[in-house]
Amino acid sequence: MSANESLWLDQALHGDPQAFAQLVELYQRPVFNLCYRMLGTAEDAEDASQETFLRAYRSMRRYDTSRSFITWLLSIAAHYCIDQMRRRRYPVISIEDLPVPDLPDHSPGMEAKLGNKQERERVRSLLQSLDPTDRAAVVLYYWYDYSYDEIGQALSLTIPAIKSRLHRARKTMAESWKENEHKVEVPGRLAHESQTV
Amino acid sequence: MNHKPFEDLLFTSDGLTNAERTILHEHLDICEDCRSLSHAWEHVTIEMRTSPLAEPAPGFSKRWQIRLVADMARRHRRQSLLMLTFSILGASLLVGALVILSLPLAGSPLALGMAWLSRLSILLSAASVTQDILATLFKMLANTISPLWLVLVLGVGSLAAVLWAASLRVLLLPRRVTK
Repeated sequence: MSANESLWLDQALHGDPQAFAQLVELYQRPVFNLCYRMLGTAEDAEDASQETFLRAYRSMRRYDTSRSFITWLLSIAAHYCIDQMRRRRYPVISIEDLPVPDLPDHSPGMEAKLGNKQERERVRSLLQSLDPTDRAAVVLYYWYDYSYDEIGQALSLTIPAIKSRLHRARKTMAESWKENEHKVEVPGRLAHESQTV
Repeated sequence: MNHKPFEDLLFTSDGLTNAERTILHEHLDICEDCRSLSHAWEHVTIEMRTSPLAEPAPGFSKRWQIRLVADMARRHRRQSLLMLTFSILGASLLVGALVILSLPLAGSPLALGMAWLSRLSILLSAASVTQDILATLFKMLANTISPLWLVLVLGVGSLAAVLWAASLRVLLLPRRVTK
């Protein structure tokens, strides 16, 4: 943690909103990414990440300074997103039915844009096939390189529970990918057959 | 064929031993289903590992500050409303109690006045008796305990009060970050 971060954190702990705004600037990307991977749309992710920072600001007195601040923020974000998904009863949608979400894209060319969009769609589709808590565990493991212990702390779960959830999530995602590949292959094969006839 | 043991090895969170890796590879060589699942998982891992962090639209922290101000104003309004509600409720209860108490006044104001006077005189006499008891107690203490002990007890009591106030202050202050 840099000297500036420590200073802002110290000031934020004493209720300074300007110092907390600096922390928002610093940690907006990881928090937004988690919310985006969890909820699937930029609008929902924006709302959830804003709410995460508001909740963190209001709960600063409860922040345990021996813990990492970003892990604490991600824990708030993950719990908020899981709660939102359960409240809204997000359906588990099949991959091909999902629309491509709008997300600010800073890529240079059209090819890169299309590539990014397809890639975003594929990743989003895979995550959408998972249970909310499994999804949070997967995002923290693959995007943040968190250890099982850190994921357990963030999601209030034991290490065996995290391992079990990741195992189930990996299987679900691999099966979704396999199924999707087959669905893509079948029309192509049919078209080829009709040409030969 | 039962594929579950091999799927468990494929998606394990614990890492594989050399023997387990050999068993898995031998099975993948002969099983088309598990092989395609393994390839699918490799693709999924690559997709996730190469997918960058999503970024919010520019101006995120400015929007957060605006939201914070709005949230604080909303909470302040809610607290004010709550206070007002409690005040109105308390005032209504007091007025209600006053009305109930003053109802007999309409029938016989003299009897009510006498009853209140009687209560007041009982209270005054109770206060006088308490004062007498305390005075006797202090006189007894002064006779039995030497002035030195009295000063010592008072001193220890004052010190305990100061320590209590200081510890309360330390406990209520926000924690400092030591990094």
